[in-house]
Amino acid sequence: MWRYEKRLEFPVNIKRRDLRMAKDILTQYGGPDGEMAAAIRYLNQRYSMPDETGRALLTDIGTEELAHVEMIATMVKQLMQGATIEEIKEAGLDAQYAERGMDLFPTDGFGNPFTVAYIGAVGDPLADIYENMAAEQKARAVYENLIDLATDPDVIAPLLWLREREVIHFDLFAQLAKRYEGLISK
Amino acid sequence: MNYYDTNNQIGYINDYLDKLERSKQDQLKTPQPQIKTYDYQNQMKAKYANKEFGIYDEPMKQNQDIQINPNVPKPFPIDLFPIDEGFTKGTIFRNKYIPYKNYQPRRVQPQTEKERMLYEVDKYYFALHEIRMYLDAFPNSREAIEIFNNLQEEYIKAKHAYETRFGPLDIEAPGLDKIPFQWTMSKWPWEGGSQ
Repeated sequence: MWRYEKRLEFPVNIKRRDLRMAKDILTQYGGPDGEMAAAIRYLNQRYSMPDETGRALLTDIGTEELAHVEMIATMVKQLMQGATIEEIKEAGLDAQYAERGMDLFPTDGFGNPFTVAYIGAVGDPLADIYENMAAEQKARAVYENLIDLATDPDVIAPLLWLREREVIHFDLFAQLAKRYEGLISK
Repeated sequence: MNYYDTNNQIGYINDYLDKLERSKQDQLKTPQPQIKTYDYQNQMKAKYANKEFGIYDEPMKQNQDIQINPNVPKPFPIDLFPIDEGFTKGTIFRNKYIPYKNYQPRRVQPQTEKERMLYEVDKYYFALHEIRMYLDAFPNSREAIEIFNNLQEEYIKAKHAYETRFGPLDIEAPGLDKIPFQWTMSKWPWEGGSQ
């Protein structure tokens, strides 16, 4: 089961509206290497890990990814707070507005809806862990692209922090891969 | 197949475990010279005793699933940032931090008493979570368990202090006996609840 704490893992306080940035960040919500895909991927893979370390790490990292989903959603929500129709059109979000209004909806930056096809599960712990390592690296690269695009320090701070989390998760998965390589090579 | 609780199709792991099972049964049949586990442990202790890498850990005890696997990664040395600095940078592990270009992580600067107290909860939980993941991989690290326990105490204290003054963060918080129900009285995180 899961429990909720009514706070963010790392504070997000964005005061300046920026719809283009919101649109760009959206991919980390519902995109292929986004936080939602990561959370579901890890929490789904943990059932077939061969040892306690694997099950524990995937549970704990997957749980943290759920907290990142909330951070990203908060960033998008705050960046869009109080947007006018003119601003929505300018940012190219008019098609989104037509379909969803101001609702948050998990898509990538181009508007492609979230799909479970993003989630790798091939029934081989080592292959799954390598997939996770790749996913963490891709997410890190996307965060770096987003940091390059961002100008507001209130946006850059949480993006930098989330980027470092990808670095750490990659490292944890890399160690898990080494562990399973050892197991399999016997 | 009592090492393995999942009904999986991973051929090579099953093969490995089968082989292990067979070799165990073989061992039972033919008396084998006893493995000097004690000596091995002492050797490992001696190896780590110089604290060359700051590791005081017991050698990895055998996991309930993986039986004998000499190739598992060794615990990496625990070298921590101060908790505030680690929370700012996104990791408390000094040797795992990789900065991006010349961006400087911005320190969270609480403006009000509420922000300050929430910051304490955030940072101790974060550090606790990171140490927990270290222990997932290296459950025999005495040093990490000590750090974990200290952080857990700090987190519980910080959370209780915040909730007593500014409302509940979860279902076991104090003050949930009042009317109106306090859970809905505080702002949600995306509404500036972290301000």
